Amino acid sequence: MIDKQTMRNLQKLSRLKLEPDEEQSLASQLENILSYFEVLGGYDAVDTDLKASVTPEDLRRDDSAPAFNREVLESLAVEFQDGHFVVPRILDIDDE
Amino acid sequence: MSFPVFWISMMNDRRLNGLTLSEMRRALQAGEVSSVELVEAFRNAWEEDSSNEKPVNGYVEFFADAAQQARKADEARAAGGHGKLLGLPIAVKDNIQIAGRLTTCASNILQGYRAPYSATVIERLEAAGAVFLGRANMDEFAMGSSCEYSCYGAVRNPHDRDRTAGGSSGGSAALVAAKQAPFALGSDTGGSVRLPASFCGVYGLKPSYGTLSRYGLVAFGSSLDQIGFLARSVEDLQLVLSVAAAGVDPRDQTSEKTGFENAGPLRARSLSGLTIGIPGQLVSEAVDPQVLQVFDEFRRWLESAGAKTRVISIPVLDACVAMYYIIAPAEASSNLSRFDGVKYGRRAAGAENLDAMYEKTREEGFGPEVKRRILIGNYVLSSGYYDAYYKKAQGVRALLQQRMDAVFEEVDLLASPTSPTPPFRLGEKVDDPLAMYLTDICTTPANLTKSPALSLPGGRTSDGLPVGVQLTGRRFCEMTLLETAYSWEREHAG
Amino acid sequence: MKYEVVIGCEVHVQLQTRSKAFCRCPNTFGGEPNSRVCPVCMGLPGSLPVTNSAMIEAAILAGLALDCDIAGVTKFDRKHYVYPDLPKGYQISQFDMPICTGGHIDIPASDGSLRRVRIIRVHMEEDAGKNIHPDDGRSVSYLDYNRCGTPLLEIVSEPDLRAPQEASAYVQAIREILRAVGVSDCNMEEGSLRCDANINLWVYEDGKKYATPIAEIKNMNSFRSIRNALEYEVKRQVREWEQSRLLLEVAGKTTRGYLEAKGITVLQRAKEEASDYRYFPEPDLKPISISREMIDALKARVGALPAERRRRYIGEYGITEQDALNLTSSAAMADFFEAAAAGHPEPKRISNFILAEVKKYLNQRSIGVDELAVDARAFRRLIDLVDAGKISGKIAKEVFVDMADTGKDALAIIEEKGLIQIDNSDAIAQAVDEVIVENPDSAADYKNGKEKAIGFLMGQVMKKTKGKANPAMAIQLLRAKLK
Repeated sequence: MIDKQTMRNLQKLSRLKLEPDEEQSLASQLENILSYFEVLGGYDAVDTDLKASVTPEDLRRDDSAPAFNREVLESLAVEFQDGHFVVPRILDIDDE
Repeated sequence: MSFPVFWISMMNDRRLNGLTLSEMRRALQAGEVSSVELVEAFRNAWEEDSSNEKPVNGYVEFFADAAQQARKADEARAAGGHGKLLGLPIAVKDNIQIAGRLTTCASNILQGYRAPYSATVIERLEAAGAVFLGRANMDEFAMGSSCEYSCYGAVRNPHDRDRTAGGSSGGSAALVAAKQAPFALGSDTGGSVRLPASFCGVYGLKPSYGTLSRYGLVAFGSSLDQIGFLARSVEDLQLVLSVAAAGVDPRDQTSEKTGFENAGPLRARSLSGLTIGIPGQLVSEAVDPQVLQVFDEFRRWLESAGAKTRVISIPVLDACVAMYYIIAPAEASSNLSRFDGVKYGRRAAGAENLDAMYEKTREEGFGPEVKRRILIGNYVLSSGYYDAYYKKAQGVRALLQQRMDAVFEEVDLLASPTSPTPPFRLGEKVDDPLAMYLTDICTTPANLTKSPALSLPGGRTSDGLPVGVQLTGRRFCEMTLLETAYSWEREHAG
Repeated sequence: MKYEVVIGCEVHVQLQTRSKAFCRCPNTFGGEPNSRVCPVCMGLPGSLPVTNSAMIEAAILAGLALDCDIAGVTKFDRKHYVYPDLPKGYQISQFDMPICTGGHIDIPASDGSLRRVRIIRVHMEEDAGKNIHPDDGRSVSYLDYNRCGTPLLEIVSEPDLRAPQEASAYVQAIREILRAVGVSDCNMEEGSLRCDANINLWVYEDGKKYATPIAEIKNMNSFRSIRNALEYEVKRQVREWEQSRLLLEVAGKTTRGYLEAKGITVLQRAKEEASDYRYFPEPDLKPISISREMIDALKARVGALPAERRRRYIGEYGITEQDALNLTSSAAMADFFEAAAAGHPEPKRISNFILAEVKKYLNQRSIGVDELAVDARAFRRLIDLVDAGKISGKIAKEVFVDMADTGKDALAIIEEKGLIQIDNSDAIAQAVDEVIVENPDSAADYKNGKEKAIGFLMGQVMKKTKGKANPAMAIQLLRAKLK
């Protein structure tokens, strides 16, 4: 059930590009693990409980607080320029 | 155990290392010892161990300024300060953030990441005067049951250095067991505090979901994660709990009011009147005989102390590992999608475009177990499989909750082994993920039901390996767990 | 070729709250890049969202204004997709339990009738950041996360719209309604209102109906571009149908972006690249239960909304549905009407005057009622003069145009121009006598029982008095003299 196409799709969703041998061993491990999950078939699911809820009054009051100091962001960033985070070019239709 | 205070000044480092947090507290208050002396004792123990051929490897960083923090605490005490944890040294798992310090979750992808803010629990400990010794080793992003999946190398069990310390808070447990820290913060998503506590022969508490704020704990399985404690005594667990659980955190909507901050000093309680259930599913033939033997002794003690025990059948417990390894990876795959090299952490070099940058960064940054769980998580959430896996698991989780609610109508606590086996050998399960996952059979139920659970050092195998016993209670009934464990400790420890 | 255009809209609206959806960063527009971010909206490790109560309130207000049902329990879900402006790799949104469902709004259709546009759902979510492509020759993009975490409503309509201009009218109506309840400024230029449209054709051939592939059109940044983009898309789909006869079942849905400068849409994402969003309930946030009391309290604040107003106009004032719709085409117009009609025994007459004369004036000059030199009170004084018999309805029309042109009061104008109605019976009697003498045939017809003839004679009396004769008095005198 974990065929090549499924593995490719999973890697895409996971944003991972596995080495071929890594891909193969993970596929067989996954298959093993997924078949173990079949134990759940022996139990009847019940409705997920939504009673544990809050009311809007319990939620945060709408007041604002000062934001981050930009130097902190810059210190975290891999690449930072003119107040912006920098990444390889994003290709969208604006580039047409 | 209590230590006559007048001995302390005569003690060398090694003796200081053996004290519990509460004993240190009394010694500090009596002026018999300084915080700086305590920190130096732990630093020496760590340095000494580091030169060992097979070091415990519990610290990924011993803070260079630990002594400086201790000096400040000593000065504060001299100036009349009396924070509840003033000058008490604590190690912190590498996934709980302290502002300005590295937090890497033992992952390459977070190399160099300096926390821009502190976790709420850290803020509360800091405000009470705690001194942070260093960052404790762990399985990468808290995913693992053996502390072998760390970018800093595996943690060794202080009782047998060829065996695992358990995971994922293996560093925290091993440090406490090896007397390199008197107390450590861990985190527990499926047993990550209790399993290493069991393997290392120390106390481990996973509070109820909602007792401690998760703000600042790097998320793994958000509906399961809880910061927990590794300690040398029950009293210590209660002491730190009363500081860390001080009220609802407005930054964590899942935190709850518990009142634990007002709990008085622990009292040993008579167990008469307590009914303790033993889930048959967790004491089956699948459990190692030596573990069962230790558990039987514990059960006999419960009876002798006045409690009634009875074996009850909770069939759905057999489904907990499956539920857990669907829900936790699903949440993890989501939580870890933010690590992409765009904003912080490590970015892979030489990627020709954005997509390649993402893939290369994550491929290089994550270790094998994290990748495995991200793939499982995305599988069980993906279109076509969601209902069969994720939704089904949540539905059975709700069933489990119903069953446990009913069980706790009949019994006050559940008792079981913490782990079906004693500490296993390093490398033994690292290539067999499913076998590794099954290690969590006894611990995952408490996370799935948001219950508090505690592992106490119940005894040893014939080879001298620690074996833990687990108590699980109703949500927010931490005090019953602690009092029961305290009663046991008074008769057995020392 | 006979075909019908089918359009459904997804409208995103930024809510005007003080702080962001899940953190306390200020929710304002613009500013230095990355100056309004914190661990939560940046999605830094360990941070947790905390829901802003004002977002929930605003969503309920909007839902009530759009005639939606408000959920008793609602929850947030995580929607996963990859884009550098989405810092967590997922967006906190709502999947299967949106806060509002099943509303509608009515708009004027392209054929002049009334078009009811059903609203499937309104849900809350957080906005993403912005990316900028600097012109510095480097192959990089810049990211600004200021907009991240801004509270958004997504309003999803059924495919009930039948023409590009209807889509534009629909979005304008949404804007009008949400501005009226004060939840958003709905400024398309600043991006606080954004619209994507799903469009395809139903082609009728050989007695059968064929659906062409659906295109989701993005990047329409003004009401005009909504119309232009969709008009272009209709032409493109007609052409595509004629060339390939591609069907919806086969080709599915694609995503196309509108290039305003070129006036065309271009393919952005083909069907096979469809996203798998892997929604699941947001574990960091608890479900929210909304009480009946809270909904009722907010309902009171939505009282003056278009739908509510229309119901009142039709029920209490006896105004037709079409007129009610026109009166509520803008909040300003409805406000004007209500202020002018306050306490008047026949609001329908005031509505007629507004929809005929006032609208004509506004349309000719392409201005809004709020830009009119005549306010509702001055307008009401004009109507009162008609009611008091000082001027006729006909004269009132001229006076209104004068008022609107000059800003002068009605009374001043009619005095200045000597337009006050002739109430003096002698003066009217003299005119009546003259008319009878000058039109003997008509007078004779009336006497012989031809009731219609009185109308012609009345017209002559009015002409002679330049419209100033009190019509009631004039007709009474005419009848008396012709007995």
